[in-house]
Amino acid sequence: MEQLHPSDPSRIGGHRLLGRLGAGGMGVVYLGRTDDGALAAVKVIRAEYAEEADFRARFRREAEIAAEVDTPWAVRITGADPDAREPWLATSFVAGPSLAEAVSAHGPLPLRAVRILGKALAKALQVMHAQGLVHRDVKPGNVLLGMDRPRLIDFGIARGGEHTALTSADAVLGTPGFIPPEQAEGRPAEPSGDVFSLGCLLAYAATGRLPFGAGTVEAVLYRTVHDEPDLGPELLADPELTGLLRTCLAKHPDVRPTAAGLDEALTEDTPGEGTDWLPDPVVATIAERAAALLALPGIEETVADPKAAPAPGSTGAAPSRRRFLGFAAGAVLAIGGGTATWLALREDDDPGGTPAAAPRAWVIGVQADLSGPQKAAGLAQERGVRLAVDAFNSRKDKPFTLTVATADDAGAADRAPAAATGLISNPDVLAVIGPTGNATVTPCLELYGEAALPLLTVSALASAFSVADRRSFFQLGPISFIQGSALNKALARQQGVSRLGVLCDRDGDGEGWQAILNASRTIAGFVPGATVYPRVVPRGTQDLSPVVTDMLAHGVDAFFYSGTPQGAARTATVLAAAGYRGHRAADYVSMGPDFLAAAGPAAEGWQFVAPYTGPEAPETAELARAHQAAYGTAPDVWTAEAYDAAGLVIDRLVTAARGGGRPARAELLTALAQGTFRGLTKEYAFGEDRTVKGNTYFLHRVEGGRIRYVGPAADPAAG
Amino acid sequence: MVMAGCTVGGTAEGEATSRAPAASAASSAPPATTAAPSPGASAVSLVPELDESKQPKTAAEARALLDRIVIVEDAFGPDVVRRTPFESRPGRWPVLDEKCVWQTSDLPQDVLATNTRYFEVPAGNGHGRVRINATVTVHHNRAESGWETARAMEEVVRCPDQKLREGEDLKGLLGTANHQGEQMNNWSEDAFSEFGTYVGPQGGEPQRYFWYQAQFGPVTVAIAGKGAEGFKQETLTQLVVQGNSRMIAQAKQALGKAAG
Repeated sequence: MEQLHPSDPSRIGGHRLLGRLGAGGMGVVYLGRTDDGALAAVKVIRAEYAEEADFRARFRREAEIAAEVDTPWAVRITGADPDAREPWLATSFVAGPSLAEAVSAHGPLPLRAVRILGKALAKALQVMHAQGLVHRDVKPGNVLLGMDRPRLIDFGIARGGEHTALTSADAVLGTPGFIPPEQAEGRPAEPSGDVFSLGCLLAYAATGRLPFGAGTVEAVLYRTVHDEPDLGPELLADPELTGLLRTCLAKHPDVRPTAAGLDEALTEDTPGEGTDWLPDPVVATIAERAAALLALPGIEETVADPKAAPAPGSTGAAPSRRRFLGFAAGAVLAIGGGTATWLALREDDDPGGTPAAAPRAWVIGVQADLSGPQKAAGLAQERGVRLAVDAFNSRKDKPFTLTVATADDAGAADRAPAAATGLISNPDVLAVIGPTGNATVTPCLELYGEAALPLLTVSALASAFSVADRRSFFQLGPISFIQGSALNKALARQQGVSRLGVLCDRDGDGEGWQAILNASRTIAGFVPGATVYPRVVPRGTQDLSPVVTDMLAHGVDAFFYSGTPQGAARTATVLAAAGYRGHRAADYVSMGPDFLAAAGPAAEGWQFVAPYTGPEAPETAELARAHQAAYGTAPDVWTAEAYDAAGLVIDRLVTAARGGGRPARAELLTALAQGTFRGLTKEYAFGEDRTVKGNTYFLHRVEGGRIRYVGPAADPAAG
Repeated sequence: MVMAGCTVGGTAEGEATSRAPAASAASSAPPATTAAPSPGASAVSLVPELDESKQPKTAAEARALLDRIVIVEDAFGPDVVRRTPFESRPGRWPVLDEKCVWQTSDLPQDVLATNTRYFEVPAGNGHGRVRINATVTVHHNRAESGWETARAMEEVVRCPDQKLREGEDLKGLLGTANHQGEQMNNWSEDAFSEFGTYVGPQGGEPQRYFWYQAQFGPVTVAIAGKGAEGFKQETLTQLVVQGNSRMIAQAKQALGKAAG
């Protein structure tokens, strides 16, 4: 929470103000405490809005109605004064994070939680609609997850009517991505529009993505009006919910269910009391927010405050004109506090100029493949970042507290921009670790570049990005094809190599081919006189035995395969059956449990030269213990590298904090590119193109049915 | 096989085209995503579904298909003209021998038809003669196209330096290969390119050499370009991409489902 500004009043309408929760075009929201100790969110509308012709009358009418809205699923109006020079409105205060914060920090909710949430919010809307109120801005930022239950905040009061819409589009329009098509086209808001927005909100809760995509306001509005919603694979498991959401998202308002109908259709017996229905990390955040309230000034201090100043409106309006509506502070009682913005104050309102809702959070983003082909690597990296952040936060002398926000791109090029946009649009995110796979890099480079948001990948090591937009992009490992020469260096040490057989299986990607080419071109430099016998098989070649047999017939005594784990396993099987005893190596993309499982005993003795260390590496022993403690397992590969990447970011942030405070993204970008950083696994320094200097590789070998970490493979360039 | 056309059997017509593509300087050249028509458009595929029923079954059908795909000089614009001879000798196929020297042989079993056409930008305006060859090869099916490309890739590994014919050499060849959807390849099922340097009979500075190949179903198309002193590499690249695009578009139109 931000401190009060010198120009802020210290009291408004019976509330002692404790700090600022947020600010936007229409006014400021304060955290206040009533004389009997209840916390409240007090929204003060700027005088210029109150000058609108019918503003005060509408404000009064809506506030009166809203005070009658009695549902546990929405915050309560605890007081209001439409006649003050700057009209204000108070509601009970909820400490929890908003749904937007929860999803962006911890990912989508389980589908059961989505149903429970949907039911709770449908109940809230049902009561509002029965009173003739339309919310007009149902979105994740307007749902607070409290210790006792989730609540809808902001009743559409004082948001301005059609008239205001012309002059203050951002305040009235609602939020692109959530507003219904009819509202996007400028027609008045109806209850069915709230149901549409709720459909968008629930789809977002289930998938972490907006059903009408991300991008410019115009593009999102266009898709809202013209395109079918994209609900994504997460919802496949619940066809009934999917069907229900699709009806909510119908273009024609009449097709949508009513809020009451939606409540009824969502068959869940638990109504969402407490927090049991939420994932553990979200619950932890809620508890943390609630605990933070303990640090706020208490009742005595409030009452004893000698400097109680009049409310801003009181100079022009006699106290007697002040109207309190349905004041029920003691009963409502707020556990909760929150950084969520309130009423019409948009979360994304000019983060540069206006004060934010709370002390700025320091956030490291993770863009990872958490549900696609490389989800094991993505998860390993997310954990590495979290462990680095946890280790930092546990320091007593830390100058700030860090949090992690993740975005799952599923390793898919078409999902990368949305994942990137989600992180970029969170102004608190200072740097992003990721993405995991090569396919997701190109579609988001320009987005990160434009935002000057540092993007540090540990595993997307393709050479092809050398010609791309690298304004924000760092590669923390050596370009993957250099493994070819690193392998040669290792083979030269192991001796007995005179003819290297290389097999490029085009079921793998173009980077695998580059590794084959690199190995072929460099072997003679490490083993003078060595020759190469190359074979390439087209995509889809199931039977590799003719080609492998041909290679053996040509006398190869070292074998390097690049392709897929399954292809590597088939190759291993053929070689084992042929009694081949020479060196066997595969591209590190083939390394892992899939290869072991498919090759069985034939995997024995295969080696991999990879840019990552292994879980048994002594230099990462402490990290391995922390991982075991946090997750109950040994770390996977890539965890240590992601830990280092986060460590590098943290190191630069700490330097900046000591030098004057929170750095801008662009400043961090500059700082990251300079100097060196000693990580657990290696030393990091970057060249002109922001690729890590030095070709550090590590050798791994299958022994006893397991992949063992052997140790560093010397820098091939140095050898 | 590195594709292109090779030397034609011994007669004077031999416009040595190797089937190797080309560009130059191996070590520093970026892997060629250069041929992609529009970077950033990776989400949009320009590749239709193959209509397998349109695949040729006989040499005659293959030649008819080939006629719909080959290009003439207008594909490149006003600066490019035909060379003489204009076309490769029918029924011959380039083969890279054990010593990395290009020879020709009869068509292999998995090639139904092939044709290479020879073009040039004549010397003038302060630059030397720029040679461009365009090759179309028709197989029975996609799998055979895949093996053609696989052999070409093997040849790059086996022979970084290749002799097109006496006095004409390619040096330091490298190659890149990207299936549809990989990197920025959204225009063909498979894109394979080679680049290195070319040294001609007159000697002089080594010039850039490119080989850009694209595949759609049973058809591969390729353009080889050899730079010349005083001729801008970007201009050559543009010509190569232009010719390649035209041929692959025609292949897609001939063999794609619906309109390509």
